[in-house]
Formats: sequence, structure tokens, C-alpha cells
Amino acid sequence: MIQFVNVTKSYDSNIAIRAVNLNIEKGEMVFITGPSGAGKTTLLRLIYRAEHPDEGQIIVAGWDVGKLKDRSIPYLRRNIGLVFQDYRLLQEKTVYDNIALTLRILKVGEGDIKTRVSNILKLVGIRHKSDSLPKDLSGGEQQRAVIARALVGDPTVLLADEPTGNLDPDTAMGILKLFKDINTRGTTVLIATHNRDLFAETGKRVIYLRDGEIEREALG
Amino acid sequence: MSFFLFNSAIDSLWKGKWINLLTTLTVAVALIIIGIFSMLLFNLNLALRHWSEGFGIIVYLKDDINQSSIKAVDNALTSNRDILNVRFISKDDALNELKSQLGSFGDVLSGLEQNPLPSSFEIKLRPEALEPSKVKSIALKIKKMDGVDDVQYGERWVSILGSVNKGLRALAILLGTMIALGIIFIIYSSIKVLFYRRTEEVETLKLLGATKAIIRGPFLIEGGIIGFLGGAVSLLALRGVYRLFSFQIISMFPGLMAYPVSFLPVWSWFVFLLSGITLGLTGSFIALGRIRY
Repeated sequence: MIQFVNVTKSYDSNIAIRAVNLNIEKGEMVFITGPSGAGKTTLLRLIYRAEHPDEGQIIVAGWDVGKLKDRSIPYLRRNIGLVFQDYRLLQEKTVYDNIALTLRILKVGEGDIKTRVSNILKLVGIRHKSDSLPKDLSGGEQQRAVIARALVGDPTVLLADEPTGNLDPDTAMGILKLFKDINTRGTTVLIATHNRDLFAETGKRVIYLRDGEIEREALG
Repeated sequence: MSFFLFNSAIDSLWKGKWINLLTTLTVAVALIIIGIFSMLLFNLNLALRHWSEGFGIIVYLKDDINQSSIKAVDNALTSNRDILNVRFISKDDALNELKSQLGSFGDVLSGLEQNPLPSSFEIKLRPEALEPSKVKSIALKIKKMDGVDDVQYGERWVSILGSVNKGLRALAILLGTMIALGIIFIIYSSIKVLFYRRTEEVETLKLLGATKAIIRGPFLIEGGIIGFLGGAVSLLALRGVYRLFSFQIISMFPGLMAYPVSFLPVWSWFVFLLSGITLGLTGSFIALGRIRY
């Protein structure tokens, strides 16, 4: 599903990712961890083509990401659901409209949107917050809304960058359970986190990054 | 056009209502200036056409010309596309006309043994042909015809008319271009502000897989609507100005405006609205610049 072949990315003279080789199978749930500056975020940004690799090849859901033309990037991103630490919900739109935005971009009809948004809100457990504005939600609820927005378009891959960074431990575990459920339904999930508690005892694959290189791999 | 894009544009228009209202009014004021100038040009053109109806070329024929030559000249003149109508004035008609013009002094002509007046053709040109160089070339061409003695026309008048027309046209192009650029710049600034205000939304849209058309769409629609509203407001305002002042203009320039001042023709209303939309779209398009992922 995601394949890195000898990928290098640097910013000016700082190498963020150094000759990384990586293979993530369809339906896998993988954690990327490491200290700040290890290259976790850059690795994710390379996958959804917010960054262009300097060297090497990246294949995501059959797309050769490095060779993508600008106009094809949106179509790659429609296969990838994105979850961020800072949520990035549109503050002037309700939870419903934030989630519906993904489907409106995909030109789904309003009737279908209503059903799909309702179903996804039920899955993430905040159906009762459908008409609320993001500012009226707790951190955990906002993150659930972001996950709902990322999932509603049925992406093949879900990328999460420090998804529990702003949450208390209990809420973080609730979000982790949600990711596991999503993965069980067949979506490939890739989570970048420095929170070791998140992957401890999950039995999932953990990739340790240091100075842009894969230091080791283990099971959580 | 998708309902979503249109809805986003309306939503954004409403959220930025004050800046959009200000932009619409500024665009309207600029278009009003163009409108007043267009109305002025339109009415001047009408007046010039009216005056030009009285403009004619007199073709004097030689005294010894025979009927078949007169017929040949008549045919040549009638088939000329620049000539609107041709009237033949025989020697007798010319004398009678002179007599009637002299009125009670007409008797002075009765002592003449021979009619000294030549037969002639009086020609009216089409308004489009009333350019100095064209009138001159038509006159020269006629003068070379067999049986034609002389050709007379108001050369100086045609030259003034030509200069006025050229000057007004150049001024219209200059003023129109300057104001059009001004409108584009106004809408550019407004859309740029709205774009910066919505940077977060644009970035989110990019991450969710929105194409450039989806990102640009609402802003372009917004620019188009502002331009259209500016055009509509300016037309209404112009109509108001016209109603208020047209009679006063007539009383101020009774000699110049011998007939009522006309409002812009209906087809130009559509040109106004379409120009507003086009300028709005252009301003928005430039403001958005290149979208990168």
C-alpha cells in the first residue's frame, strides 16, 4: 500500500529523511515514533505529497508520488485521510459541514452526504454534536470530528500526525481504540507519535526513526 | 457549476459583506463614470448624425452635357455605396429655386436672356462615409467623371467633424482602459483580502483533495457577482442621473441639444453587466494567482 525505496528529503542542508526503505501492507496498522526532529512528520508529508522527495521512489495506493503532476495531487489525496494534532477544523462551519466538505469535494449528492455523515458521526461517537461549532467541542470530540472527516470519503489509507498530542491520557486511549476499529474495517492506518503509551501492548508494528533514518522496527 | 461552489461563494459574500459592499459600490462608481461618458458620446454621435444629414456634395455639370451623359453620371452616383441619395437639379429647377429664394427680388432674374445656372446633382453621403479623406476621395472620383464641371462640399466642416470624432474615440478608449484597469485592481485587492482571510480554509480544501477549480471556483463566482452587482447598481444610478438631469441639460445647451437627450440603448445595458462580470472575473483570477499543493 505504501512503499518507500531509498527516499531522501532535505531542507537546505538539513537532511530530514535519509535513504529510507519502507513497506506497509494493505490493512496494516503501523506506528512511526522517535524524538522531535526525527523525521516523522516529513515522512507523512511525503506520503500525501506536501513534500517532494529529493531522491528515491514513493508508491502510495498505486500512485508514483514523486512523479505526480500538480494537477493529479488532489486525486492522490482523495485516497488518503489526514488527521492532525491541531485538528484543522473550519471554525465557522458546524461539525456536519466540516465532515460534509470532504464529500462535497467528491461531488457526492446532498442526500447521500446526509446519510454518510450521520453514519460516520455514529462510528466516531459524536452524532449528538452534528450541529455544534468546533469551538463548542472538547479536544477529544474535535479529534473525533477530524477522524470522521478523514474517513467519510472512504480512503484506503489513514495518516495521523500526533493525533493525541493535545489530549489527556484517557481521551487519547479512546482515540486509539477508534483507530483500531477503523483498521479492523480494512483501512491502512499510519500513526506518527512520540507518545510510547499509545502503541505499548498493541501488538502492532512500530518503526523507530532517528535523525531521518529507520533505527529499528519492533512490535508494540 | 456545482451548487457547492455557488453556495460557498454566497456564504463568503455574506461573511465579508462590508468589504464586498464597498467593492461593489466602488466598481459601480467607476462604471458610472464610464456610463456618463458613454452617454455623452452616444448623444454627441446622435447629434453629429443629425447634423450630417444636412451635409451634401454638389456636382455641377458642364453646360454642353447631353442626356445620356447625365444618365451615366446619375447611374455612377446611385451605384456608389457611400452615397445615401442623389437628387438631380436641372438648369430650370436651379433657376426656379433661386427665384423662390430671392422672393420679391426674384424679378431681377427675369431680365436674363439665357439661364446661367448649371444643372447639378445634390448628393447626401452615408454618415459612415463622413470622414475627411473619404469625402475627399469621393469628390475627386466624381470630378473625374465625363460631363462633370466641378464638385463642391464643406471641406473644412468635414475636417472638423472628423477630428472631433477621432478625438472622442481616442478619449473613450483611454478613459475606458484606465477605468477598466482601476476596476480590475479594486476587485483584485478585495478578493486578495478575502483569499488571505480564508487561507486556512483553502489549505484544508487542498488537504481534502480539492482540485484547483474547486478552490478557485467560489472566489471567481464572488468576483463575477461583485462585478455584476456593480454593473447593475451603476445602470440604476445612471438611469436616475438621466431622469434628474436630462431636461436641465437641454435647457443649459438649447442650441447644442435640439432634441431630447437619449439614455443608453438597451443592448449597451447588457454590455455594461457583462463588462462588470468580466472585470470581476479578471480581478479575481489575477488575485488568486498560482495555486500550489
